[in-house]
Amino acid sequence: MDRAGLDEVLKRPTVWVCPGLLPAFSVSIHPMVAQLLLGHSRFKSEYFPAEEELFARLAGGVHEPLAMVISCCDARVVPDVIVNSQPGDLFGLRNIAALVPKFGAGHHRAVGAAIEYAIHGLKIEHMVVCGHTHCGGLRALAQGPVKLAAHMPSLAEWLGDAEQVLAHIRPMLAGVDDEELIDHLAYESVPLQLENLLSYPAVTWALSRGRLQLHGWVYDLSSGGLHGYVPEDNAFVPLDSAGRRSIVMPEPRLRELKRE
Amino acid sequence: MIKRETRKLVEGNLRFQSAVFEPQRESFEELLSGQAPRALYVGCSDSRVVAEMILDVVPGELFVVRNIGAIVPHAEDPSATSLGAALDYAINVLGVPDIVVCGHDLCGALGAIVEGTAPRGSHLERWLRKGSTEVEGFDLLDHTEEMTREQLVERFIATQLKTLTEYETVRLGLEAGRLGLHGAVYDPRSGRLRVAMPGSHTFIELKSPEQRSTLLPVVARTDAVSGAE
Repeated sequence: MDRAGLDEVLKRPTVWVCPGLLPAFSVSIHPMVAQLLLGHSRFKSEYFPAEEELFARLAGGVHEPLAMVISCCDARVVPDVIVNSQPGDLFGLRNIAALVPKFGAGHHRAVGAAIEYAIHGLKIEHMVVCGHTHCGGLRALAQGPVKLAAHMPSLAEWLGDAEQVLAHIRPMLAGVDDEELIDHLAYESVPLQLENLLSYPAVTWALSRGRLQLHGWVYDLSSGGLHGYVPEDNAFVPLDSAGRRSIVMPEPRLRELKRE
Repeated sequence: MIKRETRKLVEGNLRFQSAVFEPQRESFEELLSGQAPRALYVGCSDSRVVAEMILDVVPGELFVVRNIGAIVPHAEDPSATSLGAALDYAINVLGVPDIVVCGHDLCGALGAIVEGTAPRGSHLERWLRKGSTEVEGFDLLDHTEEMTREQLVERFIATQLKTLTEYETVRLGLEAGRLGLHGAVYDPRSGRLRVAMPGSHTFIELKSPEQRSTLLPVVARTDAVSGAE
């Protein structure tokens, strides 16, 4: 089915009796999902055969990702697209606002499990926290989780962790207009999430053995570029091919751990 | 100082900027005003299973939660906050009409659940236990002998779908008829997707594009829950 054919289907009522192959089934086709399935058929017929060798290698049990990336659920921020990587390259954890709850917070478990598996199971050497500008989750935070609590208690609780981000920048808020603030939040959030990573035993274990490096990135939606955190300067710099400072050095606390 | 792995990622981003972002700058700028994704996708962290690629969507189309094993914890469990927050945001803020829970064959997490191989007391083990294996009297772990791994992952995903209905946001959406739940399993060996059929435990593979014009097996919106049983 081509785009035009799909458009025809989309105009029909949602309940659509499937003719032909499976007369017993009366299936409802939802337009949104129909488009996803159309996309999958493109993947299957075009991309998969073209990369046969790669997929065969991956299916053969090779799971050696270059890095683990903790990023946001935001549909516009696709890590594999942003770094133009291939399947098998990035082990991905995605949650609202790319947050890392402190170890022991109770709801840290989804993050904790992924970190442990990445470090002990996959022996991943690079862990990236990748926030982004225009983040809706951080916007909701800036607008006040209390307001959310009434009808979105889980979101309020989850963002409650990021209260430290807000507390961190509150003194700077005066005179900053909304959009500027939202963009700024990601740059404040990422270093704090890196710090929270240090509360996980698996992370400190790997750092102290020199087996892990932490990286903080912010993806800029308006340029497509990445900024990397430089702890020495407590600043972000554009990541570029020269790679001068494109790697985020362990911050002082991490270096102390390494000496242990 | 810069490691090869990281350089590869940074160089990838520069390639993305020049070969993807710049030529389509207008489309990317449209995204600045906000996102209106087609669906919420809950899938596994596994690096081999890239949702946006499998479904061939562009940035902005899919709101994505990824965790170990594509697990949906019980709603009242403390560890449910992470997914619960994403459900709140996707359903109430973005008005996403569909949720797809997608597992995959060769999943290490499911293997660890079935074989009980995760280190005792680890977060991983505790997290894996959040993935319900039992629904309405049928416990997956009682059937590991006679079921194939493919069948196990299908039933596992069906169980996660059922667990989704414990979340109030989801229940309200289903009751109002503005939300559909869908289950799928991706096979990294063939690149094919098996999709849950409504009203049964059956997952069926999508046929070739030509055949697809007469066969679009999508879980019926209101039947989705029964389809997950």
